[in-house]
Amino acid sequence: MNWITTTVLLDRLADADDAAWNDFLGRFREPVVRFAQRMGLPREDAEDVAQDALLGFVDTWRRGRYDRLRGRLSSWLFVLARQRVLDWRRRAARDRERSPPEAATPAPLHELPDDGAARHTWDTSWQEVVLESCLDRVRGEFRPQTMEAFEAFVLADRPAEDVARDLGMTSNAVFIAKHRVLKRLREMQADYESIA
Amino acid sequence: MSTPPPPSCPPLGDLDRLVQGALAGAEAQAITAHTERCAACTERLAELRANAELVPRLRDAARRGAGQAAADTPLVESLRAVGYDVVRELRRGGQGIVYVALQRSTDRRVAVKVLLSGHESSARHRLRFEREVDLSASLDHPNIVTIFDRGDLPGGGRFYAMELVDGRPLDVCAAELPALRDRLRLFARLCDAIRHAHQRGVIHRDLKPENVLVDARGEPRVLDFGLAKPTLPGTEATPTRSGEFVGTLAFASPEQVSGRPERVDVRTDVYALGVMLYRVLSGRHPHPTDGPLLDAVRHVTEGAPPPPSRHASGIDGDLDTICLRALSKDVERRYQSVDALQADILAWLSHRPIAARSDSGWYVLRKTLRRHRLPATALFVVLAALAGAVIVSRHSLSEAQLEARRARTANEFLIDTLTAVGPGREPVDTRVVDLMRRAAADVGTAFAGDPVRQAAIREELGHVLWALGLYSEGEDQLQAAWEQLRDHLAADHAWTTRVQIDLARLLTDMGRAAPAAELLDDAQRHAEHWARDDERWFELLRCRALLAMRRGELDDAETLLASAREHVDNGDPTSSERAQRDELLVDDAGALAGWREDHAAAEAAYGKLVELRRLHLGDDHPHTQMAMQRYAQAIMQRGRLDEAESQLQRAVANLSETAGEDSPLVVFARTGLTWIYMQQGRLPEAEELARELLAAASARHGPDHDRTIGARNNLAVVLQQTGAFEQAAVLQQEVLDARRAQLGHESKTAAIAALNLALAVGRLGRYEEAERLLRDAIAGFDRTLGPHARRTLLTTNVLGVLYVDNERWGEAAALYADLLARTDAPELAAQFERGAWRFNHGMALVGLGRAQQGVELVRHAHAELLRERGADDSVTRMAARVLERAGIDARDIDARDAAGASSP
Repeated sequence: MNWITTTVLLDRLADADDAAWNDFLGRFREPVVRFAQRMGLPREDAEDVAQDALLGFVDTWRRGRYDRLRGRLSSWLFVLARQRVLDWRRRAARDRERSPPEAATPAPLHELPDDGAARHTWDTSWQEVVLESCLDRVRGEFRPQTMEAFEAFVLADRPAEDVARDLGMTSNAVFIAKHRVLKRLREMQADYESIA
Repeated sequence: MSTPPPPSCPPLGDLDRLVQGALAGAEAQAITAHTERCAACTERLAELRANAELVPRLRDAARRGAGQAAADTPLVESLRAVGYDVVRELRRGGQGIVYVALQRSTDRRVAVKVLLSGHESSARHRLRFEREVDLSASLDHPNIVTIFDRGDLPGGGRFYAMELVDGRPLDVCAAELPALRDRLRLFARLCDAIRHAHQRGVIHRDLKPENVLVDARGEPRVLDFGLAKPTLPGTEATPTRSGEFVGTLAFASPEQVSGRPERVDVRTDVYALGVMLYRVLSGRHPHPTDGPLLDAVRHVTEGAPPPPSRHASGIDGDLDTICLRALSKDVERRYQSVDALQADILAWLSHRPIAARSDSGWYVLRKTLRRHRLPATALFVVLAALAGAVIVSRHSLSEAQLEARRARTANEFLIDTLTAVGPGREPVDTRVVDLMRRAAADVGTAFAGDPVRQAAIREELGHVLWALGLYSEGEDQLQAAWEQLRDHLAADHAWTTRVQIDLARLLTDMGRAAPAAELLDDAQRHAEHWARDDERWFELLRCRALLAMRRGELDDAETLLASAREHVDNGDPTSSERAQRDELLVDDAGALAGWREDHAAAEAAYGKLVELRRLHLGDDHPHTQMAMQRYAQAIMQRGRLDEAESQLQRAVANLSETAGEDSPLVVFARTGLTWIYMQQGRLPEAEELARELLAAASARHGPDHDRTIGARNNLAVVLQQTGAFEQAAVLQQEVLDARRAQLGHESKTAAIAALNLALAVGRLGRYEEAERLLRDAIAGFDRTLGPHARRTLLTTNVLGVLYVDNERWGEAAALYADLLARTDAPELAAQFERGAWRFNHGMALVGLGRAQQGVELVRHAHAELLRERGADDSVTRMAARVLERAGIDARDIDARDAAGASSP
């Protein structure tokens, strides 16, 4: 995910533009797919749902009904994604009634969980993707040694003393590296949340 | 960066272990005991706990990322095939991935950027990628990253290899340099690199700290020309279209965020450098970027960043100026090249004067004066700051030259006059007035042969005099300026029209509606030649609206303001004046609501004004504070005295801390409080506060200062309320004497003082004195505001009341006959309660023995009073009693009148 350019990206969607569409898809598809999967859809259907939800959003945008001042983009996407998931379930339920039980789709639930639970699932998916892109981005901001210490100590969960020995630093320096990168990640996360 | 912990603090590692629960026993106890006493460690612990919460989710994310990396395996394989062994991923963007790789042929570590192939990359992305490589390769500078290699990948896709900079972002490194001068030297070397790129015809367009790494030797290295644009003729246009934004918002210039790629040029990089300079100087961003995105865009296009010195010490006015100049929203007012920016930084480093100085100080002053009536001291401070100001061009070249020339001339002339005060050079208000007057008197001879220059100076003088409340002198200057421009430039020249409209606005302020309307009609005659987006439309519509307000045509005023609003909305959103105009219109909406006595709407408008100014200028800006106080005034009018009081109390508390007890805004707020106490009948408190304010002003400014006089006046008004008329009269006399000495007998301020004194001595029965003062006041208002101004007419009524009280019937009759005749026009009649005036007129005639005529007038007045004040009003009842005594039952008459009116 690239930072900042969300609004501009949306503006570009106003004229049908393959590149803009690809960018948009690239950025917001993943959280929708994950959400749909967690709501019980198989990967393929989840991808269809994501495609549908994003198309729906673009349509809303082009008709000028999306008011950036009133809701965050992520909340809008949630509403659309949830609706698509609900549609998918209804279809699946109908199909189930018509088909023999052993051919039923693997939907574990008949009804959508209450809004709070769905919202929670959405937030989880969204935050995951945000965090992943923060992690991508933070790599460029620190000295290679700092990042290596961080990755080995925090992500790979190796003992600080081992990491320190391998990289020729003190173990306190490893903790400092951990602290600085995590602090920056928290800032980035907050930044990202505030712009989408 | 965090400061190293004091020796007794445990190392960060131990604190982190404590948070992880990895410490036990005595060690843990000792550290816990320490942190309980140490604020710094407590804070650090909180941070470490927040970190700890993130870690599990982060590990998940990293695992998912590793899954994705596995998907990239073919890419890694194809890089190996062209001679690069991938070590690790450096960063990943929308268009490609950057790897750290080992170039096998040279055995060195390099950075390899790969453009993803397949459906994820579009033709435009490919074009951009090629351009990036071409442009980067065309640059050869030690502070710009070098390109080694480029080529195709076997599985499709493109790559290029560049030197790997082992460095960190500029702002991070700068933050670690304690000395400001070192940070600026670093920044100047960055300017070197960008200048080199510009000389080769390359605009970077995405300058930000992440793209400027500082290497181990402390050298800045510019990378990522992925969004760069060639400027030289013959080069192909970039794949960017109108309406599209490229870049990073936090560092993007107004012309970039508003999607106008055709306006992007080297000055766009100057802006981004300005943002970086701001960060390097203050560690902060010039605009808040953590709010909703739309707000962030608005900040970039409209907000005025506070000077960096607001955030950090050691930054002087020159550095503020350099930084804000680079950040100017108007490209024409920015540094026109990186060279110029760098030159000023180097000048500052070597203690030489900078070229930018106060960015177009005079221009700013004029704008400020137009927006707000500044007190004269503030004005002087601004004037004094103007020395050496350079005016930068606007609009077309010829227009720009004209503008620059006239502004500079005006500036130099006024500065000369102002600095000729002598060795004391103490900025005293009265001197400003004198100086302005002297300048006004001299301008004709000083520039006898050059009418256009003369006009330029007269225009500025006119605005200053107007701001000082010397309306008719201001009018003379503006009138002369307009005539000179009309005769020597052109009647429909943009400048001429602007002065003409300003003159109309001044006349509107003075209540001289007819000549103001004439001027506007005249200006509008040329309007058919104006473009739809000509700035003069705004000025014209707004002035018409203000005039309509004065005339009581409030619906018209509203329509006109709506048109002016439309004009602003359709205008250039990047214009530096946009935000100011928005504010002016909101301010006007508040004023309109005030005229309508719709205090709810006034409250809403001023509430909005507060919001806008907070956004554009920040909480602490005097204009924001002033807006807050107007808001408080509006809610005071709504009778929410308690709320207004608490607002003002809060303002006093906040401002006393930030701006100091003596700041004009604190004084203003406390003055408001005095007024509220008076309204609430809390007279002892009001008196105490008024006395305190007077003592403070006197101690700080001396007895003859404008503010001291104002404070004295306020105390006098309070005393008048408490019934201490004698004390009030003594003080008012002092005020009047001071006002007259300060601004002359004819000024509006002196007239107000005369009126107040008249009211005090009137209560003491000193009628002769009161009469003389009222005559002076009326003459003053008449001259400054005009015979139809509200204040003139109301003061005339006061004199009339005095005549009636003293049974001077002849004078009273003449006065009211005149007053009623003057307000006979329907739009004026609607603004006044003429029933009471007519009642007095009738009583005067009765007193003169013309009973029949008098009673007839009282009868007429009674009908008006019923309408205007209702039956229970004391004057209405008095009129009814008069009619009864005259043997007429008022109700009968009214009934008869009604019957008569309905019969044929």
